[in-house]
This record gives sequence, C-alpha cells and structure tokens, in this order.
Amino acid sequence: MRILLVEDEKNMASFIKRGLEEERYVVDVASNGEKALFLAETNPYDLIILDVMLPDTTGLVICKDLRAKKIDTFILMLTARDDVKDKVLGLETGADDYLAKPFDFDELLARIAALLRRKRLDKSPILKVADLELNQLTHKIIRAKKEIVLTGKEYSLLEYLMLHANQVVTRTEISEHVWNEDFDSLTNVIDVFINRLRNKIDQGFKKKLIHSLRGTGYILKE
Amino acid sequence: MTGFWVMVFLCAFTVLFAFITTRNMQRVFLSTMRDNVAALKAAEELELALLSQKGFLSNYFLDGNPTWIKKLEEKKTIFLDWLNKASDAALTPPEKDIIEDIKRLYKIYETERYKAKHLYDSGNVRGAKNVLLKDMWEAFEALYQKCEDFIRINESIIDKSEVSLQRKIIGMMVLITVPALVIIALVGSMFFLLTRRILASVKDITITTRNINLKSLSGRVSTANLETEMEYLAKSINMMLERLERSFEYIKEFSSSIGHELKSPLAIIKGESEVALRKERQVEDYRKALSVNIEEANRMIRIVEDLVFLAKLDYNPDNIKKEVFDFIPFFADIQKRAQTLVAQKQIELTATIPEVAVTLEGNKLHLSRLFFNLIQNAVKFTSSGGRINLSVHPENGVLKVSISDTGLGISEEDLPRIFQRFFQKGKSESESSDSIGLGLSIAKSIAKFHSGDIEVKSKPGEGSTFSVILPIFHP
Repeated sequence: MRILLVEDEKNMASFIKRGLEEERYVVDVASNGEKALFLAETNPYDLIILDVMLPDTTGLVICKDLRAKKIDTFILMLTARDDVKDKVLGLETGADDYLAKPFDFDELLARIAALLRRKRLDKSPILKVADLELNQLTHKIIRAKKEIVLTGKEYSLLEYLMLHANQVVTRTEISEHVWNEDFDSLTNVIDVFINRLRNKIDQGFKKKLIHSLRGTGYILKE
Repeated sequence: MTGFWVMVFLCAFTVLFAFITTRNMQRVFLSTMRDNVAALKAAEELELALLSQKGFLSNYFLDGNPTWIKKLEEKKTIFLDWLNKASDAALTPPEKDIIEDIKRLYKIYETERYKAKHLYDSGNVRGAKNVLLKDMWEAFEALYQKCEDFIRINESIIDKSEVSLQRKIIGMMVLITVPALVIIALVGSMFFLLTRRILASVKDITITTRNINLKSLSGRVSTANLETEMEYLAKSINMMLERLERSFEYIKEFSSSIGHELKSPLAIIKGESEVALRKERQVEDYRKALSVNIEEANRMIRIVEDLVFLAKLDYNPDNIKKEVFDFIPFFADIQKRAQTLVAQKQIELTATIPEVAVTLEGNKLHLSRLFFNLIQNAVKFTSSGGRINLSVHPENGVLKVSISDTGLGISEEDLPRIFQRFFQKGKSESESSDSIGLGLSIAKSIAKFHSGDIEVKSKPGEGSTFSVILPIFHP
C-alpha cells in the first residue's frame, strides 16, 4: 500500500513516514503543494495524507485540483484546525476523512486502514487465499496453521498479491504500489523479493500459490 | 408600584384639602349669616318691646300709676337700642327699606302715643283712649307688621343662604376636587406613560445585554425612539459593547492562532513519542526521538516567550526602561553582527551610514531585536548571491533606517498582512520549524513602542525595502 504524505513540517513528516513504514506502508513525502500535485499525478497512490496548511497553497486547493483531474485516490486531511466548519469544508472539497492535530498515531493508522478497506467487497482485515492468511492489523501471516515471519517489504509485496488474488499483476503495478519514489526500475529487485516470498510461503508445500507469468508478471491463486 | 401609592396619596391629599377649605368657607359664611340672625333677634325684641309699650300704656290708662310710664320709657330705650341693632344688621335693600319704614312708623306711633298721654294727662281720658285704641293701634299694627316682615325676610334670607351655602360648598368641593383630580390624572398618566416608555427601553436594554455573552457580542441596544437620557445610556452601552467586541475578537483571533501554532509542535512531540514507543528500538532511535522533542519544545518556548514579550509591549509598556544613546555606534555594532548572518548564505551586505551624531531615546535591547528581525527576514527571502543594504537617514527630527534586499519581494495581496501575528509566507522545509511568524509583528510593536513605525515597499521578484522611522531625541 503506497501513501503520499503532503506535509511541510519536516519533523511532522518524519515521524509519520517512519511510523507508517513500520506498519508496512510505502510512503512518499511532498513538502509543498507543487510537489504534491506532481507526485499524485505521476504515481497511483492508494491514499493521500494531506496537510491543510502548506507554504505555497492550502490542502483544500490541492484536494480540489486532484478531484478536478479525476484522481479519486482516498484523501485523509490532516490539520491543526479542528472547527467543525473546517472539517465540513475539507470533506466538501473532496476529502474522504479528516483528522485534527495533535492526533493519536493509532487513530491515524486505524483511519488509514479503514479507508483502504473501503475499496474491497470483503471488509475483513484478514485476507485469505487457500490455507494462507494475512492479518492486516497484526501483520501476522499463517499458512497451514503455522506462522510465517516476513520482512516489511516482503509483507507489502504479499499483501499486494493477496489483495489482487487470482489477478495478474505486472511488475510496474507492483513497483508502483509496493515501492516508493526511490525505486530504481532498472534493477531486478521485484524478482528477488518474489523469490524470497516463494521460499517462505510455498517451500515445503505441495500446492504452490505464487506463479510467474513469463513476460507479464505474477499471479497468486489456489 | 411606588407611582401607584404616590397617586393614591395625592388624591387623598386633594380631597382633604378640599374638605378643609370648604369647612373654612362654611365658617366664614356662618359668621356673615350671624348678622341675619342678629337682625332676626332684634326684630323679635322690637316686637316684644312694642307689645310691652302698648301694654304699659294701657295699664297706665287703667290705674294712672306713673311706674308704667317709667317702665314704658325703659322699654322705649330698649326698643331704640334694638332698632339700632336691627338697622346695623340690615344689609339688603328690602331690609333697609323695612327699617326705614319701622323708623317712620315708630315716629307716628310715638307721636300718637304722646298725643294719647297728653290727652290722658290733661284729663281727656276718653280722647286718650280713642287715640290709643284707634290711631296708635293702627300705627302699632303697622309697626308690628313691619317687624313681622323684617323677621320673615331675615328668616327667608337665612333659609336661602343655608341652601345656597350647601350648594356653594358642594360647588366649591367640585370646583377644587375635579380640577385637582383631573390634574392628578393627567400628571399621573403622563408619569405612567413616561415611566412605561423608560421602563420599556430599560427592558429592551436588559434583554439585549442579557443576551450578550462571549459567543454573541454583536448585539446592540436599539437607540430608536428613546428619551434623550436613555439614548445617552443606550449609546454608551453600545460603545462599551463595541470596545468589548473588538477586544474579544482580538483575543479570540490571537488565542486561536496561539492554539494553532502550539498544536504543530505538540502534534510532533506526541507523534514522535508514540512512534518511538510502538516497539523496542536501538538507543540511537530513542536519542533521535528525544532530540526532535527538545527541538519542538524549544519552538513552543520561543512562541510563548515572543507572545509574552508582545503582550508586555502592547499592554504593559511602562515597565520597559528607556535610555538616551548615540545611534550611530549602536547601529555599527548591529551591522557587524549582521555580517555573520549573511555569511552563511553568501549574501553581500552593504551599509551607508552618515558620520553625524544621532541621539535616540529607547531600549537598546529591543531596538537591536527590531533590526535583527528585519535583517533576518531579508536574509530569509534573499537567495545566495543577492544583496542587502542598510542605510541611515536623519532628517527633520526623524531617523529613517532602511533595510533593502534583492530578494523575493512581497505580493500586493500579502503586503497588508505581513505584520499580522503568525503570518508566514514561503518558509522553506529546512527552516519550517524555525520560523514562527512573529518576527515582523514584534518589530512593528517595538517601533510603535518607540513612537515610530515601519514602512514597506516591495516589488515581487525585485526585492523589498523595510524602513524604520524613529523620532530623534532632543534634550
């Protein structure tokens, strides 16, 4: 899950980014409105966290611009203003949720998770494919009643594959949702991580879940 | 309620007054009536005296005893005496006429009586008796009749005056009471209407003022259709509300911006700590989290300190000490220290300072803060390779210190807002938590404290010039 964080205060951006990354999210930071618009237009983010007070513009303007450009990514507004008036204005401009600073980090995580679940038919935080289970809240992965320990990136990759189970996902799609701006598309990093996942998920099981489709990408299916 | 009792008292007083007045009138009236009564009495006495005279004379004729004549003479005097009294008491023309008649008839009667006595004394008893029984009797009858008339007249006068007195008393009472009551009613209703009107406006003022609280200070007392005094009151209440609203508006805006400014560092301290505590970490990670927290705490301290300083400048300026000092060496020192500020950014700092003596009265510490804030501001918005010029112009009793830069400049839209508290523009990421948007506001407050001001001229893309105007000190 890839998130764009639009926040001009570097200390604020810093802890939110670190905290989210520890929760297996992939985070890009935009420190002003211009950068935010550019990044949001170039990358297919799953969610945008948008600060209202920006040095060159306001979050409300960015929100309006994004919606005008038909970018319907979930937007969570973040601001020090907590008047009902401000919240209503934010939501009316096109934001999906609103959180006032200072906030509880757990609440931020819960709201992000809730927003991301909206797209899915199954609103349960537990993703299931055959005997493989992924818990989005606890980040625990279980196959055949045995827990599998994954690194952050491995988890993100598996989560993405499971969210798109029985669908072919391309390398580009994976790179866009599991890696951030720093991703170098010329390397074979994705193949390396897929191999590591296969070792942890499929090794020792008769039934393989992760399949390569030559020249296209990967599919996770029963 | 008090008004009602005042009215009741006034009514009672009027009735009492009318009563006392008519009582006095009655007394005066009765004393004048006493004359009539006296006349009546006199007439009755006259009749009696007449009868006695007649009787005594008859007796004298019977036995010739001279005592009867003596008694007769006495009665005569009594009669004349009463006649005088009756004459005095006769006030109306008919009464006077009767008295005249009585006097005339009495003379006739007297003449006849003398005649009779004379005849009797000369031995003509028969002639005397004839006179007595005929002529004198006629005179007596006429006289008696007149006395009766006089009595009747007086009796009717007394009757009439009693009736008229009663009528007059009632009339008088009506005459006094009715206008008095009308006046009281008029005054009372005017008083009532006036108080009702005043009370209505007081009620209006009360309702308006009662509805005024921190959330709605915008209410105003209506000044339409008010008495002059009430209008003054309403207007001064409105003026007070106006001042209150302005101060509250200021406080509201100020505290909301304080809240907003403090929320960011608080959110960072809270978030940084929460993220740090989410799992076991390396010591280095905790150290980083703590130093971020200290950074943010320092920022809060600076905000609070600056706000306290501003509050002191705005509300308690008397406690700030002023001294008289030579401005040129003071500014040369500022220029020297400013060099270190520009050095980090490779900005050229030039200065044009005249070699004259300029004396100011002020607080050197605060004034240097003013100039540093402006220089810092210039440095912030001027990119590397740019230039900042400081110039000092004393003229016409005023010192003008200008700080010009070749920086970003200020848009026309932002120009009126740059001195507002917490106004921030174009902060870069590196200094985002460093600047708190109070620098220019503080500079302006310091200038105002020194009876001066700050003027700005700016063209976006070309740079800005901030000019500090301060009065030169003349001993």
